[in-house]
Amino acid sequence: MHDGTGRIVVQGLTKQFGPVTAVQNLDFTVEPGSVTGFLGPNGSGKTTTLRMLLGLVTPTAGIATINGLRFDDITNPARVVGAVLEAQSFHPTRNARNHLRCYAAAIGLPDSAADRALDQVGLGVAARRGVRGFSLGMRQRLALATALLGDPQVLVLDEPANGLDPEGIAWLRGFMRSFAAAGRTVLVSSHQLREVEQTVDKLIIVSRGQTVYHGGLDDLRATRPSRVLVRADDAAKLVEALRAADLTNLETTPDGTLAVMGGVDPRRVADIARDAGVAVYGMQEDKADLEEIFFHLTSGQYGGAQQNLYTQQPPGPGQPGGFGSPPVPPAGYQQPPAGYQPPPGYQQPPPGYQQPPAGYQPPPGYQPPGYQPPPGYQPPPTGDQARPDQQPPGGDSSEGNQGGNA
Amino acid sequence: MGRLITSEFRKILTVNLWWALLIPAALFTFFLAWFGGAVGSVAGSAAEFGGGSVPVAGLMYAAGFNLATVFGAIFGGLSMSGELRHKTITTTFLTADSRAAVLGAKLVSCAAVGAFYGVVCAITGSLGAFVGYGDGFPAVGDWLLLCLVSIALMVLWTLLGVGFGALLGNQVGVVLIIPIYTLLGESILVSLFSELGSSAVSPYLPNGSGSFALLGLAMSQLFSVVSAHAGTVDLPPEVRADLESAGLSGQFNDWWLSGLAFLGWTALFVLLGWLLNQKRDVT
Repeated sequence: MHDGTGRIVVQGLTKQFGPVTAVQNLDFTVEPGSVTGFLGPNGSGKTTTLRMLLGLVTPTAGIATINGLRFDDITNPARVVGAVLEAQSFHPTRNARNHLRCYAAAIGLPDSAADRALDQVGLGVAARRGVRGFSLGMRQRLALATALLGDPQVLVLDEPANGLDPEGIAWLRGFMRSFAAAGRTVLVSSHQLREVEQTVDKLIIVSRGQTVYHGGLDDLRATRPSRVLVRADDAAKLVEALRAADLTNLETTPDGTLAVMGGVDPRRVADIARDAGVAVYGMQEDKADLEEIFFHLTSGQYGGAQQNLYTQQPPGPGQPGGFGSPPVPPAGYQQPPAGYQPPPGYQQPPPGYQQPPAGYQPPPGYQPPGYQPPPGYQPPPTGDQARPDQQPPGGDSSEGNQGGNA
Repeated sequence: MGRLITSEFRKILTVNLWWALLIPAALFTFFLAWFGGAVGSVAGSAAEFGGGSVPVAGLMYAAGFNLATVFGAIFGGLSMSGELRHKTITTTFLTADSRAAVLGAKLVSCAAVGAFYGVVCAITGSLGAFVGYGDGFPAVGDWLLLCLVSIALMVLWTLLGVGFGALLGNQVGVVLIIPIYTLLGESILVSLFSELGSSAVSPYLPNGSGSFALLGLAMSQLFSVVSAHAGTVDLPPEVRADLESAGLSGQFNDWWLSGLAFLGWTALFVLLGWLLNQKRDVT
């Protein structure tokens, strides 16, 4: 018999469909009492993995267990695990109630279980309607009702929010939370982190059939601490004051905005500026966007160069050192060649650009950045890099993210 | 297993398919038994030799019933392929102890439906034969045996369908291939075998064995009466010629061998369907 823990264990799971490797040596564990998000772009092997877990697809190698047993070895499995894999698994002319009664019989439940499951997902009024006339959202609810029939300990959901209206999504989130709060296990897949960000405790991120991240949501966020962007009248003075306050991890963006790195509270920066008598024209906390981190982790899937999130990106014009610019630059921006090398005469580090060394020395009088565009770099149309409201297009990437987070 | 059988019966009864296929099956049996089919000329020549009271009704009944079995086979064939088509197979497998148990429950429930089809068609076929050849009925015991064999054949056809559907896994394929093969494909195959000089295989091919098991029984009943009347053990050559032109073997006393062959075909298709069902990736 199964161990009753509600734990899902996947070890070395691999699936080969002909020449295509859908899933490659996947390892993860899903613990009870939590909602675990299973994320990856379309075609990253999520659905295949879930179907292998549920015994619907035979793995080429590896093993997936629920409660310590392979799905095929679980007797009356609907009592242990319920699954929503697609919103289309209904006979079009069989009505919702009859659909559930068919499976209630298979699980060995009385007919009243079907009505209870319908009420649980708010489909009681549509019980006697053929599924043919159901909207996608209603089908999702009926699929969930089917999964819940056996009152399972483990719930596996494949993109359950597809087709649900905002109210339905909110309801689903609440449902998953309460299900996990009762000590049960929820594994929910999605291709959008934002969709599950508010619901999940843990994340498994897959790309090209492999795990690229496995851990807590907060840990993922912590890999990219926020920064505070300050525009001040006397940046040099502010830098000095910040350094005096032990905030030495400073950067200057190409447009002259000072970036205080390392997850500092913006109020603290404001206080320091006030004490130093520096006028602050604008301040913005730039939080690392989870969606963006997710995008970086999985961006290599379709042939793009795999970028390492945890190290700074090479300095390119208009790309502030390694912070959150999406890999696809806005149109019009000339991407430096892959092996971009600073052109001869390019000072390393140029004043006002790049990560300053520990003993950051502002240039005399702290001019707007003295960065000289390398040959081949298209100067922005406005040409005035000192004006923060008219940044070169390349700088927009970071600005755009800031806007997205505000 | 009991739970899954209940589940399968509910699946069958909550969708219109079971009666949508039963109605044409019953009607075909009735009208074909009434008007006769390809075997009409055989009945005519038999009557010529056997006098006025030849029991030709059985032959008519068999000809009609053999067409109705196609509907049983399609019903069985849709049992698994329909679930694959509507993707309900996912939930079916997720709520079952094993895939083998699912197919087992389908075989049991479809056998019951096949038996029901058989009983209904036996009744409509008997009615049709009575309307057309009311004075040509054999003894009651013979007629009951004919009905029993036909019901058993309908059950086997339905089970063969289940196996074939599980093997093919494609609903459209089942609906097309079963009637095309039984009505056309196998007669091409038979003429091909005839070219090769082995026309004797006809009563042992999938469709041939299924239909000859019933036709052969009806003929053996008929010609035992004819022979008794004509005072000969062998068939009159004219009758034999008529039989062969109707595509029927004169070896009708081997009808039970055809029945065994058909049982073998059913077992083969169920086995193949079973093996594929165990391995199939449900994506």
